This record gives sequence, C-alpha cells and structure tokens, in this order.
Amino acid sequence: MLVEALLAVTFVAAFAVLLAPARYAGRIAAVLSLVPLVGSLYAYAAFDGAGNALLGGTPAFETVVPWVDIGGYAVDWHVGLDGISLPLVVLTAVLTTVAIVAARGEIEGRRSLFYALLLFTEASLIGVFSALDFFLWFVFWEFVLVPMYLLVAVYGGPRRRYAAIKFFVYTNVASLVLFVGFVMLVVATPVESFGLAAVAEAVRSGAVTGAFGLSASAVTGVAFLALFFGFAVKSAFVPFHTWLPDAYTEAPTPVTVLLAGVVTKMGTYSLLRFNVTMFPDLIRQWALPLALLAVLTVLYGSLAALAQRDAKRLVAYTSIPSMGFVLLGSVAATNYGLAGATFQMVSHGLLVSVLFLAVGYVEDATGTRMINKLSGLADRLPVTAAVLVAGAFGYMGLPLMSGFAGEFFVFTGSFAAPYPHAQLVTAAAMFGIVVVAGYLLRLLQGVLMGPFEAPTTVTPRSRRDLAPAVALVLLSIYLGVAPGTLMGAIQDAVGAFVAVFGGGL
Amino acid sequence: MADVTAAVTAIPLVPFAAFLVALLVGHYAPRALPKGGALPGIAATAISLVLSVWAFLTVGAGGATVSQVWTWVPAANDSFALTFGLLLDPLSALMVVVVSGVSLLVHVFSLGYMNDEGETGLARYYAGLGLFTASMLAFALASNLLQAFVFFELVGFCSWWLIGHWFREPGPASAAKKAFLVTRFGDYFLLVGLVGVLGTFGTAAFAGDASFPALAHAALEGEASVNTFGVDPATWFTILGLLILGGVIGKSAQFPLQTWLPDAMEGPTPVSALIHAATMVAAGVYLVARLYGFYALTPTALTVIALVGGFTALFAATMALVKREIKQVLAYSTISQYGYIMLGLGSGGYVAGVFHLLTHATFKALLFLGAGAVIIAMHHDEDMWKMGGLKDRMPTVYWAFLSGSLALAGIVPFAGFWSKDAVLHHALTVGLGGQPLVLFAYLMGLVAVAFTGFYTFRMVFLTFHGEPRSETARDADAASANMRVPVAILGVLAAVVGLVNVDPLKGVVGERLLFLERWLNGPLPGLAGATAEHYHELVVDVAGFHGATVSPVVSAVVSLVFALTGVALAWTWYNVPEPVEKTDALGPAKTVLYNNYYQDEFQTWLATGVTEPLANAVDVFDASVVDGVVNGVSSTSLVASDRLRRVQTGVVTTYTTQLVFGLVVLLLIVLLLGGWF
Repeated sequence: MLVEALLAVTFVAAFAVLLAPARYAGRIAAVLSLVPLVGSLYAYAAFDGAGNALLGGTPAFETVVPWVDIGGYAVDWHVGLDGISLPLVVLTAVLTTVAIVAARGEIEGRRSLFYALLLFTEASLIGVFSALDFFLWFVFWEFVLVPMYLLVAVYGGPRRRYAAIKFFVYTNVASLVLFVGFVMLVVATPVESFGLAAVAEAVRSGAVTGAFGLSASAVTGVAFLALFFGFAVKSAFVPFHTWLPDAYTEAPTPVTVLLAGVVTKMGTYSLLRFNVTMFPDLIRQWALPLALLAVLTVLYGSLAALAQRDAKRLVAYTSIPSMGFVLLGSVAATNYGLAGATFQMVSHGLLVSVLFLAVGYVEDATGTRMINKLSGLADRLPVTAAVLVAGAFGYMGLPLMSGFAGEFFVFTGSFAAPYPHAQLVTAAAMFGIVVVAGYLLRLLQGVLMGPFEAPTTVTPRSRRDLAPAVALVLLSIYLGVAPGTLMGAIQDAVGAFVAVFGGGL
Repeated sequence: MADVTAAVTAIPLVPFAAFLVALLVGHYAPRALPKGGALPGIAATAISLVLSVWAFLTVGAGGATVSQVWTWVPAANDSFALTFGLLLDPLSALMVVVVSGVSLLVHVFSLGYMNDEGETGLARYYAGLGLFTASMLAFALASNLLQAFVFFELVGFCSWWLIGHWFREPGPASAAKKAFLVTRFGDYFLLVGLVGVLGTFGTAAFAGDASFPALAHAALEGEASVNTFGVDPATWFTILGLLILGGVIGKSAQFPLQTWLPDAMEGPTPVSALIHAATMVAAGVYLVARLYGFYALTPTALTVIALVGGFTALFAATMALVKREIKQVLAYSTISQYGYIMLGLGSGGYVAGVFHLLTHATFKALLFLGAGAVIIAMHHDEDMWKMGGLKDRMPTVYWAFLSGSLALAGIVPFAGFWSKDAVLHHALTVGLGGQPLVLFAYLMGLVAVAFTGFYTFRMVFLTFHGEPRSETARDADAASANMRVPVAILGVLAAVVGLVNVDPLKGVVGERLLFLERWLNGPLPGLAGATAEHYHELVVDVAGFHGATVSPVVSAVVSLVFALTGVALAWTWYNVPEPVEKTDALGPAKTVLYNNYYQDEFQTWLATGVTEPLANAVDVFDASVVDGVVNGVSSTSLVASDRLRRVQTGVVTTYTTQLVFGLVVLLLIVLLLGGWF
C-alpha cells in the first residue's frame, strides 16, 4: 500500500496547495513535499523486492486490484517497485522538494497553482515509475504532460508559448504513436490483459500472431519501432530532441529541474521497461543501429552544446549526450550496461539539476545568463561558484561523483556488448567526455574567471536558497563514493535481463 | 596486517582532512584558519610523511601487501566487483615518501611565497594543495587501474584548481582550462583502455596471481584464456597498452600532448614544483612503472614508449634553449626529463626509469622552489634577461640552485648524472642488442644531454652570474627563511640522492651500492609479480629485449662529455659580465623554437578553426533542418501556426480545456483504432 499512499498523499497535497493562499503556498508545498520524500526514503529503506518486476521478480509494495475491463482486456490497478523503478521514485521526490524550495522568490503570480502543479507532476511521475499495467502507466504518462505544459506555458520565459506548444504537441504525438503500437501488440497476442509482465512474457515467448494483415514479425517490429519512437522523443535522442532546448530554456528554473531531472527519464526508463525487456531478440538484432544512434546523440548533442552562448541553453543541450549514454548502456544489454543506464538516469537527474540551479542563481544575481556578458564571479558569489564548479565537474565525469560512476558503468558494459564492433562504437561515444569537458570548462572560465564584470550589482543568494543545490552536490558525491548502495538493488533487477540475454558483463 | 592497512589508508586521508578543514573553516570562519590553511596542510603532510616512511620501512621488513579497502560496486550477475584497495610494495612505498616529502616542503615554501606576499584566497590555495596531495598519494597506493584512473582524474581536477588560482588574470584562467582539457584528451584513451582491460580480463588489479598483468602473461603462454574480442592476444594487449599510454602521454606531458605544461607555469610557483616534481606529471610515468608487468609483455608498446620518450627529451630540450623566462626553461626541462624516464622504461630499464623519477623529483622540486625564491626577489618578473648577479644577493638559493642544475645537467656526482646515465646505458645496451628503434631513441636522448647542459647553465649564468641587468635585480632581497630552508634541504638531497644506485661504478664497487635496485628487486613474499627482477625476466623472455654488453663506464663517460660540452658552451657565452643572446644567430630557426614549433597555434586552430565552426554548423543545422522539419510537419498538420496564435489567449482555463479536450480526442482515436466501438 505504500505506493498508493505516496500517490494519494501527493495528489491530495497538490489540491491542498491549490486552495492555499498564495502567500503561504510555497511554504506549505515545501512542507507537504517532505511527506512523499520521507515516504520514498522509507520505501528505499524498507525495500524488499527481488528481481525484475516484468521478468518474474517480486516487486516491493505490490498491489493488484482488478479495475476495469475494456473490450475483453483486463485493466488492473497494478503497482509495485523493483530495483529499477525505486531509485527513480526517490529521485522524483528529492527533485520535487528541491524544485519547490528553489522556486522561492522565482515565481511572481499564481503561486498556489504553480506549487500545486509541481506536486501534481510529482504524483504523476511516481505513478509512471510504479505502474505495472500498461493502461495505468499510460494514464500517468499523459498526466505528466498536462502540468508540465501549463508550467512552461504560464510561468516560462519570453518564448514560453512556442516552447510549451512544441513540447506538448511533439511529446503527445509520440505518446499517440507508442500507444497505438502497444495496443496493436497486445491485440496480436493471446493475453487478455494490459499487465506489463503478462505482455512481456507473451512477446518473449513468441506468442505474437499476425494481425491487421501483418505477419507476426511485422507486428512485433512495428510495435517495437512505435514504442522506441515514443520514448526517443521523450528522452530527446537526436534527431527527436528539438523540443528540449526550447522547453528547458523557457521553463522557470524549478520546472526545468523537474523537466530535465525526471521527465526525460520517463523516456529512458520506459525504453528499458518496454523495448529492452519485451523484445530481447529485436534489441540484439538492432543493437548496432541503436548504438550508432546513441553515438550520434552524444556527439551531435555535445557539438550543439559547444555552440551555445546562453548558459541555460548550453546546460539544456548537455542533457542530450547524457541521455545518449543511457541509450548506449540500454542496448548493450549487459549487466553493467543496463545497471549503468539506470544509475546514469539518477545521476544525471541530480547533476543537471545542480547545473540549472547554479545558472539560475547566476541569472538572479546578475540579471543575465549570456556567457559573454558574465565574468569573474568566483569570489563575488563563492557558494554559487562552488556549486557551479561541482556541478560542471560532476557532469564532466569527475570520479567520486555520481556522473563518473554512471558513465563508467555504461562504458564498461557497452565495451563488452555482444553486437558487432561494440568496442569501436563505445570508444566513439566515449569521446563525448572530451567535448563535454571543453564546453563546460569554457562556461566556468567565462562565468567565474577573469576580471569582474556584470551588468548590475551582484547580490548573493541566502544560504537557505543555495541549500538545495548544495544538498544535491553532496548526494552526488555520496553516490559517487558509494554507488554500491544503489547498484545492489539495480543489479538485482537487471539480473533477470542478463539471464534473458545470456550473460555478459 | 590490519594495522598496516589502516595506517597506509591514513596516508592519503590525512591531507584530505586538511583539504576539508581549509575549505570549510576557510568559508565559515576564515579567521580561525591558522596561516590561511598552511598550518593544517603542513601538519597533514608531515603526518603523511612520517606514515610513508613507516610504510617504507615496513616494506623493507618484508611487509609488502595488497589489501582491499572499499567495495565500490558489489559483484552480481556473473559480473565482477569494482573495488578500491592498497598496493604497498617497494615502488608505491618509495613514491609516497617522495610525494609527501615534496608536498611538505612545498607547503612550507608557500608560507614565504603566498602568505608573506599577502596573496588572497589562501584557504582556496591550501585546500587545493591538500586535495592534490591526497589524490596523488591515493593514486600511488592504488591497487587497480580503476582506482588509479579515479585519482588520476582528481589530480587533473586539482591542477585546474591550482593553475587557475589567480583567476582574475586571463593567463591562468586559460592555462587551467588547457591543462585539464589536453590531459583529458589523453585520459580519454586511458579510459577506453581501462574499460578494455575490464572487458578483457574481468579485473583491473595490478598485483597478485589474479591481476591482469599476470592473466595477460598466462594468456600469452597459453595457460589462460581471456576475451580479446577476436583479436590476436599479443596484438590486443599491445592495443590496450597503447590506449593506456594515451593517459600517460597527456599527464606526463609527452609529445604531442605536452603543450599544456609550459602554460601551466601561470600557476603559483610552488604549485609548479608540486605538479612537476611529484604529482601530476609524475603520475603518468608512474602508471607505466606500476603497469610494468603488462608493458613488459609487449615489445611494440615498449618501443613506442622509448621512442616517444627519446623524441620528447630532444624536442623539448631544443625549445628550452631559447626561452627568456626562467620558469619556461624549467617547464621544457621537465618535459625533456620525463622523456628520459619514458626512454628508460621503454627500453626495459624499470629500475633506471624509477631511479630517474626519484632523482628528478628531488632536483626539479628544488629548481622550481629556487626559481620561486628568485621570482619573489624579482617581484614576479620572470625574464632572465632582467636578472643577473643574484648569487651575491641570495647565496643560499644560489648554491642550492647550482646543485640542482648540476643534477639536471647530469654532472658527476650529482643526482641526475647517475640516473640519466642508468637510463641511457640501458637504452644503449638494448638498442645494440637488436632493437634499432630503441637505439635511435637513445641517440636522440644522447644529443639532448648536450642541449640540457647548455640550457641549464644558460639559465644559471643569466640568473645568478654577471652584473644585474635591472633595478629590481640590483635591489633584490635575500629569500626569507621559510623559502630558504626547503630549498637548502633539497639542495643537499640533489647532490647525494643519486648515490642510492651508482650504476656506472658497478664494475668497480660491485653490487653493494645498488640500494635502489636491490630495493625494487624484492623478494616480495606473495607479490612476486611486482618485483624488478620479474619485470626484467619478462622484458627478456616475452618482449625479447636482450641487452648487448656495453661497459657502463664507457656510456657514462660519453654522456658526461656531451653534458660538459653543453655546459662549456653556456659558460663561454653567458658567464660574462654582460652577456648577449647568442642564440639569435639561429635566425628564423630561433623564432620557430621560441614559438614551440607552432604547436600551440596548431592546437588553437583545432579548437577554434575546426571544432568551433563544426559546432556552429551543427547548431545552424539543428535550428534550420532538424527543427525545421519538426515545425514544418506541425504547421501542415491540424495545429497550423497561425491558428495556434489565435487560441493562445493566455488564460489558464482555456489551456486546461484544450488539454482535456485533446486527451479525450486522443483516447477516442485510440479506442476507434482499437476497434472497441
């Protein structure tokens, strides 16, 4: 019942905040967000799941209740957490609290609605990560879109409408495609349920039959591609990424934290859950082209980031190569590849948030985020500078922070992947770490070093405002020093894949 | 052995604690930080030094050990665990003594260089030094390649931190970026190599029967099978060795990745001493020594190491000939000297290479600290042509600097003579033993000896001899005690440390005076694979490097003649009251040398002439083509752009209505498609 409790508490909190007076909405939201945070940490501590939720494992906090029946297909209320979803639920709760605290002083009007939408997003995200029934999952998946759209469209920067509409339309088209693809797949299998485990089992055991005038293998292939397209848009793999820089840049910082930190993870998480888990043969077969797409995403995204002059837009682009690494690890289908992909999702969520928060602090203090207008802030904003340095180096893969761990696991798993030329492909993707260092060092040099120049006087933020970013840095260091704390559960959940794929590193 | 492990773990942890103290106390209560963090740093490095010496003695008493300290990732799913540990053997014990010793002296020297000069940002400075020292110590003690890489990168991060200390100036800011970026480029190859090692062997351990060098040896002997991804094992091991070498070339500033190092002179001089003598630059070649059991298996990789080393030794020495600034001369001499270490290691001379690493750490720390004292006396003017006559102004520094210069130039009996000749002798014997490429590398190294003698004494004469050539030089003050004492200690060491291995006199005095060789030879109970003796067997048996018989005395006399020729030329040209720049006679060649063969221009062009336009092209392509398609598709569909504008009323309820409407339509379409109605 823990998952239901988390969902209920968060949804109720969202409505409570919506009704709260604007003056107190922020404080109330911050306090209320601690409830799901503590709840998720409790879930982490009390986690007793084993194996993979879709591959015969026993998820923790599982509930199955028959819900409705659509055209002869059972839709259940089926939720539960395994080693892959648990870290993402904790990440969601952590980043929501961070976003709410970081919103202090950021948001001018309609505050109650703003905080309510953040909490609504959190609840929906927890739903996405814990749902084990396709229909339920899809409802939560679409639920995320609504508050996210409003948060960008109402509270965003000058081009917020364009960014919000683009985000909404693009990801909604993607949702539609994946929905149709999955339903098609279910229709072509003998299962009479939308339960993810049941469908996965049916597809893997070759129970797919021809349907809609297509052969069985065509149905599987089309469903695979439809799902992949849907998740690729959400994860912003190149060339489906162009909604991302606009949405990230136009959204206010707290929203960007959630958007970059968790919402893109919906795509990569679902990629693992659906494409990799359900179609091991196709993943094997298409590993090379998909890995090449990962390489393209990494190198293209890095190069595009190198050309940015707006610090926030630059950080937005840095997300693209990181998601490429997740894809690289996922298609490797090895222990370290899959576990690394999951770990990298968490790590990226933390570090990209640190960077966005730091850029937000700089913008608040100076009134600009154009790199060429900033200079020499290191000693004027010492804590902000420290946070920016920590975030940037963490992002570059400085060891003993989580970023290195995630990338290293992915590289280790990918290098030994069974598809042809995996070594060369991995090495090519790894070159991203050099380019990333290039543009982030330039960002640091431009903003922090050199003679002191800023358009206006600089007012450092209070320690309380900076606390969320500092906390995320410490969390990232903790996970970098002791990745085993997460990797234990993750590897347990990944083990079932590895058994399916026949072993590997 | 638990107490040994705990004590050795403390060697890097104590400076790390000093880093935290400087960082946190420096931020929250700067006044409470004694000497801006210098005293905690001095105390920490002193404790590390004591512990290191104790560890050294423990190893001497047969206490070499490898132990596991931390499980980074537990093993699961038939895959391997990733762990951190400690490898305490003769090599690492020697290295931690050198690192903590140099770091202690650098901390003390900084009192004079930074504190007394009223520099700001002291807490930041000493925090950086503490982390730098801690990272290097943890690197030296690493028990596997992953851990080594982790601390290798932290060393790189600290170099960014410290080189960029004076961040207001454009020079240090760029130099810091360049140092990290160029070494990161090398580390990229190292990381690929590391991942490859894990993929091949399932372990990255350095020592023991289950270590990857041991597995590689067994695989070559046909006694074990490892996954070489379809490549012939010998070739694959060579590839892995060369990939790892990429990181070495970056950090140890070997050709073609040496360009960051001269720029790194923008950092405070004590930092230069630490970077060059004992930490960052040393880390590269130390990794080769650490992995010697692996490199000794592949003659190709060894030859590449020797060639890169020999070439870099000569190449860097030519650029040092014409520099005006004292720290620039030293920077190029560092590159050149690490070339010798590479040459020694690459020609199979493990002991010779480690020996030169040891002596170089001593005399290069000395020369940098001496130069630092000179720079303070000159009020941060580093141009040697404005110095002159300083030997009367600062005699202690002069005599110590002279000792270091004699060591650098390789003049008997100073430290560099013994170690450089051990390197050259080894390269010569292997070269004559049927390795023409190694012989070629030797010849480059030999020519560089003459250049070294010349540039070193050009520097000494221009700085300390003759008449003062500026007001500042005329009024220079003697160095303060906190700078003099470390310089003097190192001055004595530079004179005598070479006596730990008087290799050329082997024929005269026998094996008695080869302390270092005996130290590295072991025997090591339980770690037989980490002894110099074992490495030598591998080099001969597996790599097939056989040495011809050449008398060490002959080789030593030859290189001594080369060195003295260089010194003599410098003497005649520059040890005069009013020297003039004789290298001007080189004409356009001098311009090329002075501009470092335009390599910096080449690398800048790679960054701004190739990468940046490419990035901009990607950006334009992204906005016009990729995004253009997206916008084009959307504008031809239902949501035409003009209609979009009309429905954007800005009222939240409108949006919500649209969204709900959209969702309903979406569901209806889906359900219709699904055939449920």
